[in-house]
Amino acid sequence: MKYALFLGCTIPVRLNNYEISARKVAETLGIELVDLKGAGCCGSPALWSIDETSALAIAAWNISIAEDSGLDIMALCTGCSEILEKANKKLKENPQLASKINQILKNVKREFKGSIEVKHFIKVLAEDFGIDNIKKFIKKRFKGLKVAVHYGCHLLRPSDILKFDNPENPAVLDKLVEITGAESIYWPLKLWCCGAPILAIDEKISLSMARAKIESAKESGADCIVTVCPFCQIQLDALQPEISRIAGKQYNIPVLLYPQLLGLAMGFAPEELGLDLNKIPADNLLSFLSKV
Amino acid sequence: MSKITIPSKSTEVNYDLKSKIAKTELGVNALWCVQCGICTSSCPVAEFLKPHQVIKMALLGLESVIRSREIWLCAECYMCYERCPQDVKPTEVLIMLKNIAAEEGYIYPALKKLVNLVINNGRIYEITDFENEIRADLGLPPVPEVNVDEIRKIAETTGLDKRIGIRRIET
Repeated sequence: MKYALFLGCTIPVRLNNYEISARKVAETLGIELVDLKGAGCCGSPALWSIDETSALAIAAWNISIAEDSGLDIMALCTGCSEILEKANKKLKENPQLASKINQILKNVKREFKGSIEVKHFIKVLAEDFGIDNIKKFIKKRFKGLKVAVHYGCHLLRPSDILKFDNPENPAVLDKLVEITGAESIYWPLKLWCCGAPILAIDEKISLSMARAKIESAKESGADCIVTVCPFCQIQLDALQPEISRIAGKQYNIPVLLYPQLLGLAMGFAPEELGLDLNKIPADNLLSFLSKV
Repeated sequence: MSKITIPSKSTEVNYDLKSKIAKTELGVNALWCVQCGICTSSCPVAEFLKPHQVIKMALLGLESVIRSREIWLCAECYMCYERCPQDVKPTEVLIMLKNIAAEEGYIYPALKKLVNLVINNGRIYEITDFENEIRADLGLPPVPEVNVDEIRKIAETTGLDKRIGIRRIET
């Protein structure tokens, strides 16, 4: 299995822990990742909301770079995968729109052909590799660890475009968490937005959304939260001290990126998965680990 | 419970705006809206943004809707999109309204900054030797360079670079 790795803007700079752990896990599973040369910002949800045509053109430009390699794109960032998948589908289904966008790309001697697929990392793990196949690589199991699984909006929605799992009652990421031995718990705000997309617009509202999520996870008895999106991770982990300060109480709930959790169960040491780069210390989770 | 507020005092109809929205696929589709409010009851920022009101205002061509701060508070979580019984696609309607607002020059300064970064660096965060050194210490390969010239050319062709002037957004 081979994919063009789409890193995006945020992960290579702010979330080295996501990249390290995802690369480790992929390598162990035998999923080959080829760094995409020349690609840039995916088109960005923020740009899409200001100028759809420009965002679409930049997304198509990125996709066309991957098309040269003949490989499907795998994105770690849920924002990137949503934008690229949305653009890919729109352009494939609408030849008129595709020719309008290709007219723009002509100036940079590029062309959107519609010859590849775009997939999020979790989609690759669950659908292409297969959850049962990952089980064979589990060397340690979490016993009694309660996880609040946070899908993040754009892994699931808009569902008519992304076509992944049930947008209102998903199970795939829960299953991926449970193969590590951990328990995925019910928590009321599981599918609620973390607030990250409006952090730059209104910090107060944005952080209150994250706070509601953290409190919901805490009250439901979670030992940690698991995410698969850099923005959700920043919101719930990196900004958690600020949220605690505003709330006037310490939450101290570790937030792990999924490949960190899976990597621990595969037998990697915490530092090999960048666990020391998480803002909220996650050391106490190691005590739940036991050999298979 | 927060009290329900009408997004703006202004009820001025902008007929150009009204016909512009009416001509779009999403605008035509939005005529099916029955104001049931499922979008608003599914909205994580419903305290500040009421999608069903915004849709009604847009259909009426009320100028205040594109000058409002409310539309920029949509986090694009697509919950309303999934649940709308009339398939009005409220999230996409809001994205369209933000596009129209931006075309008229009403853009949030923070978003303008972000777009500037994309045009100038090809990405939201600039990659310098410093970032690559940190990555090397962690055993990560250097980040492949972005072909920035091509992104700039795309932005020139679409007029994005000229479009990102700012006008004040009503609060």
